[in-house]
Amino acid sequence: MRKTTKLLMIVASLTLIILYFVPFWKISLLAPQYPEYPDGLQIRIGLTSLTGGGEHHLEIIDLLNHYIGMRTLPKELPDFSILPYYVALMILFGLISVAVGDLILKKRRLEVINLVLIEMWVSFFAIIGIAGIWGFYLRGYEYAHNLDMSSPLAKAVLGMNYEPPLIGSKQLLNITAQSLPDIGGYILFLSFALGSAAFFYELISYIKYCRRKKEQ
Amino acid sequence: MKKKAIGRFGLILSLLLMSSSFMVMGCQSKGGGIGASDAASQVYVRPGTHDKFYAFLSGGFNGQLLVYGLPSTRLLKMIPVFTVGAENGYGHSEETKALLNTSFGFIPWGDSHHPQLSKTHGVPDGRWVFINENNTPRIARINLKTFETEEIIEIPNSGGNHPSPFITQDSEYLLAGTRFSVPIPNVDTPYKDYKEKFKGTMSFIRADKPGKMEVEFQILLPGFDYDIARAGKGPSHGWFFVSCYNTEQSPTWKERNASKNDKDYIAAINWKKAKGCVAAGKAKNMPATYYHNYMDPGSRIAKSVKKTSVKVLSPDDCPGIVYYLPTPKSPHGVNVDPTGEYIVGSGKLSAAFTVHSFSKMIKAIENKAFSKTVYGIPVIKYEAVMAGEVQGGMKKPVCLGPLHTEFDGKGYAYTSCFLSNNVIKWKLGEWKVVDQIRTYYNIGHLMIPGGDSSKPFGKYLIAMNKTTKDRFLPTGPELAHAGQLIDISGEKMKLLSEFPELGEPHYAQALPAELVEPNSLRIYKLKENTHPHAVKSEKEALAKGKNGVVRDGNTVHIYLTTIRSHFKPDNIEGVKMGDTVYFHVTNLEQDWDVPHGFAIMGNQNVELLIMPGETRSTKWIPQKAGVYPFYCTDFCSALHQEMQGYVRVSG
Repeated sequence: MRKTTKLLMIVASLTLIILYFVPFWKISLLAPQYPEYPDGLQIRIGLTSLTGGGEHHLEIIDLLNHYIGMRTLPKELPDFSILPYYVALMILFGLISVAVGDLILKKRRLEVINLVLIEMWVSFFAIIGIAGIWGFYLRGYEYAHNLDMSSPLAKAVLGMNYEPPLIGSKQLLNITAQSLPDIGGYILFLSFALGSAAFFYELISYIKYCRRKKEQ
Repeated sequence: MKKKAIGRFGLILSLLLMSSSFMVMGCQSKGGGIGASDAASQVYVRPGTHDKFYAFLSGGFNGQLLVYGLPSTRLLKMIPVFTVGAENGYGHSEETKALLNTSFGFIPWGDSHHPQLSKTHGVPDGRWVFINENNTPRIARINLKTFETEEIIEIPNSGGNHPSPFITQDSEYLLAGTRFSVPIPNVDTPYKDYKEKFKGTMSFIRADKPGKMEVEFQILLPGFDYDIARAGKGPSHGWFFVSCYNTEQSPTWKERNASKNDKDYIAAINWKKAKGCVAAGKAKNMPATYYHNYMDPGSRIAKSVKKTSVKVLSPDDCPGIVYYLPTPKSPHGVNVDPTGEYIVGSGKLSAAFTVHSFSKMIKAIENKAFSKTVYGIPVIKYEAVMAGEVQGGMKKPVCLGPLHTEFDGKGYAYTSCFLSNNVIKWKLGEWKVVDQIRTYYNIGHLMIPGGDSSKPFGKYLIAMNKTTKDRFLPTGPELAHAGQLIDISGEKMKLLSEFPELGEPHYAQALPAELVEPNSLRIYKLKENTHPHAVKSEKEALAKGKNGVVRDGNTVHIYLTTIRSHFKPDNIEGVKMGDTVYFHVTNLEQDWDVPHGFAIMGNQNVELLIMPGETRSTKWIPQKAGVYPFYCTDFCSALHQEMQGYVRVSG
C-alpha cells in the first residue's frame, strides 16, 4: 500500500473516535418567546444518547411538544446500542485494511486487494450512512405522527406535519426547526471524504501501475 | 450686620417652613428642562434593549424596595422587604413569614429608608443591597442574584433605626444608629428623666457574611437624636460620621425645643478602635431580645433565631472612640466625599452648611483642640475641624434647607435644598456654588449612581421629592411622589424626565447594569431544592399519603406539583371540617419565566407565586363543607385557564 493511501486511511479511521465524545446531529427549535436561546432549543444526537443544547433543553422541548401530543424525547433507543459498534467496526475495518495492505500484501500484483478493501470500507460507510439517514427519518416520522390523541392539540393538528426536516430548515407553526450536522457529523463527512480520497488515489495509482506493466 | 442678616434670614426661614412653599421659585417657569426632543432622546431606551443602570429606591412607608432602570426610569420590580407582599405571598407563605419575626412578634409592615449597596474597595460590587426599617429597628439584606429579601436582623436597644444601614468600604460593617433615644434597657421611665436615662446606641452589624449578619457590638451614646451616618473611606476608613440633633435633649415639642442650639454635632466614631476595645473585653454583655431571620438557600425556608444578649461598649471604658464636630444647625445629612477627606454636614436650619476636614480633625485630636466635653466626649473646636462653609444663603443661587449631598467624582458635590426646591452644584475645596437646578417640589434625598462611593459612576442624578402637587395627572388627595432625572454629565445640570414613585423613596442607590445583570438567576434548580415538603415529580406527589394527601391528626398536608398546564393531584379528597390544611406546591418547571400561582376560594390568606424549581406552602382553614376550586393565578400557557383543581371538604 502506498504511503499516502495508508495515511489517508489511518486518519479516516481514527478521526471516527471523536464520534464517541461529540454529537453528530442537532435539531434546533427557534421560537419567538425564547430570546434567551438565540441558537434555539437544541436536541443533539450522539452515538449513545440524546442530549440538550444546554441544561433543561430537552425538558423544555418536551413541555412545548406535549400540547400536540408528541411523546417525551426518548432516553433510550435501540439505535444507541448499535451505533457505537458500527463506528467501532468502521475504525477497525479501516485499520485492518491498512495493516493487511502493509504487512501481508507487499507484492505489487496483489495490490488490487488493497483497492477492494478500501472500496469495501467506503461502500460500507455509505450503506451505514444511508441506513442511518433512513433510521433518522423513521424516528422523526414516528415522533411527529405517533401522537397521544388525548393531548390538548392532537386532534386540532391532525393532518399537519410536525416532522422535523431531515436536513435544513422548516417552519412548524410558531417554531422554526433546523436539522443540521453537529460536530460529529462534520467528522463523519471528513472521514468519508478521506476514505474516498484514499480509494481514488489508490485506484489511479493502480491504473498507472497496470499501464506501466502493459508497456513493459 | 451679620447678626441682623441672620435675624432677617430666620424670619424668612420661618415663613418658608410654615408654607413649605414656592416663594423662591414663584417667578420661575414650570417646565424646567432642555429641549424636549433632546431630553427625550437621552432617556429613550429602545424597546427590547436594556437600561444602563439599576437604581434601587426605598419605598418609605410602603416598606419595600423599588427597582428602576436608568435612564428610562422604568419600574422593574417592587421587592417586598418589611411589608408583606400580597402579590407573591411574601410574609404570608409558610416559608417567608419568619422573615418578619421580631421581639414584638410578627410585624406585617415597615418603613424602609436607606438602600445601601455592598461595596468592595469603596465601590458598589453588585452582591447585595441592604435597607433599614425605621419603625421597628431592623436591617434587611436583599440578594441581587434573586432580587429577594433573604435576611433581616433586628437591632436591640434602638428606638427608630434612621441613621442606618451605612456600610464600610469593604462591607465589613453596617452602622445602625438610633433616631429616637430611649431608656436602655427600655423600661417604664418618666419623661422628666430623659437626660439621665435616655440613651442612643450605634450598632455595628457584620454585613459581609450572608446568612450570618450579627450585631457585633454597640456603642452607648448620649440621649440625642441621631439622623444620618456615613462611613469614612480611604484615609478616613475606620471612622463613621453621624449627624446629631436634639442635642438640647428635650423629650417634647422637638420641632421647637430641638432647634434651639446654634450648633449641634456630627459624631465621629472610630469604629476600628472600638472594635479593639471590644476584643480586649471592655464591652459589657447586656441582656437584650432581638431576632435574626434568614433564608436557607437550599430549602428557601426562612428561620428565626432569637438572640438574648448584646455587647455594649461605653465611651467611658474606651476613651478616644467618639469626638463631636460642632455643626450648625440640626444637621440632617452627613456625607463623605470620594477622597474621604471632606465630611459635609447639612445643617437643615442653617444659612450656610459646613464641610469638615478629616485631616484637620485628626490634627485637632492630636493637639487636643477641644472646646468642652459633653458626657465625657470631647467636642472639637469648630475652627479646628471646619474646612469650609458653602454659602447657599441669601445670595443667589439659594440653598435653603440643605439636606443631602452626593458626589460626581469630578470634584463637585450636589446638595438637595428642601425649602428652596433646588439642587445646587458646588466645588469641593473652593466651596463655591457653580450651578443650580429647580426640582418639583421639596426635594429630600438625591442620588448619583455610586455618588456615595470612592468612585462615583456619575452621569445622572435623581431628585426624590416630597411633594408632587400639579406635576402629574391628579389621583385624588393621595399623589405619587415625583422623581426627577437630571443629567449631570455637562457643566450645567439638565432636567431630563420625571417619573412617579411608589411609597416615599427616601434614599436610593444605583450602579451599572453590568455589575448585576449577568448574575441574575433565571430558575431555582429543582434538583438542588432541599425543602422538606418538596416533591420532585408528579409520581412523587401522588405517592405521598393518599394521592398526595397526608393526614397528621387535624393537620393535613397536601403535596401539589405544577407544570404546564396542570396541578397534580387536582381532585383532592380527604379534607374534613376542623382540619388545618397546608398546601405544599412545587413548581417542576425548569424554564425561565414560568412561575405558577396557587389560590383557593375563601382562603383567609394570600396566593402563592412559585418560581421554577421552588416549593412554597400556604395555610388554609376551610370554613364549611363543600367543594373548593383552586387555580393557577399566573398566566402560564395557552391552557392556563385549564390549570385548576378542586378540594373536597367533608363535614
